[in-house]
Amino acid sequence: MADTPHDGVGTVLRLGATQYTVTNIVIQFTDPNADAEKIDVSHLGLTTGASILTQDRPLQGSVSDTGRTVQFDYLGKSIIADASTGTCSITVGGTALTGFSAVAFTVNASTLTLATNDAIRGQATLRLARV
Amino acid sequence: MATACAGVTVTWGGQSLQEVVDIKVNAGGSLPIGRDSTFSLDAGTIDIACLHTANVSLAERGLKKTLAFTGGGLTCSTKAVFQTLNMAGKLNDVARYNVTYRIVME
Repeated sequence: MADTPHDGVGTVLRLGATQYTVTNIVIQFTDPNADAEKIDVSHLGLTTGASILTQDRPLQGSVSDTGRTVQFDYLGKSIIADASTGTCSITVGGTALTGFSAVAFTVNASTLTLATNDAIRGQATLRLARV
Repeated sequence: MATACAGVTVTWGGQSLQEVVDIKVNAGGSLPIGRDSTFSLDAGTIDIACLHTANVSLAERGLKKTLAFTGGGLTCSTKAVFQTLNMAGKLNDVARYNVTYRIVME
């Protein structure tokens, strides 16, 4: 069978020393300084071919909004406490995912679902520190 | 081929409206009064939105000057009376100005 180095088999997520049996991980990076976050101040006086003009918004994003989150689903009986902090590590096949070795996090949201004829499933969203 | 709406300048009485982002001309207004007259009470309005300055003050309200457009397929001019000025400030955004002129048929 051909190797599929881009698949997620062998992925491990740890919060501190606790390893979770994860079934899904979504990592989102959003640049808070991206052009999409600026004000478009282009006007009709610009000539054809001119660049779109943007201007920084007068207010900055909150300090705690790093633009980086990890959302993951796991199997387990314990709910992860909201607002708890620690370090997050993700490894794939024993190798740390780039940028995900002991990254400081704060738990934004956490849910635990108990349903008939199913495993107990949890979901958490972590806000990562920008390093 | 469609005309790109770019490189537009707008002046009223020779004063430039700056960083204009939207122009709406609604010419015509009401029908003429009388069978043999072109006079009408309402000849239409022109609304202009800009980001920097409309370059008018309320002291000029009711004054009639030449409103001229050049470039971007909008080249034309008409006599127009400055009627209303609207300024809008919004959190975490730039100030926006809207000015309305009433077209005068002469």
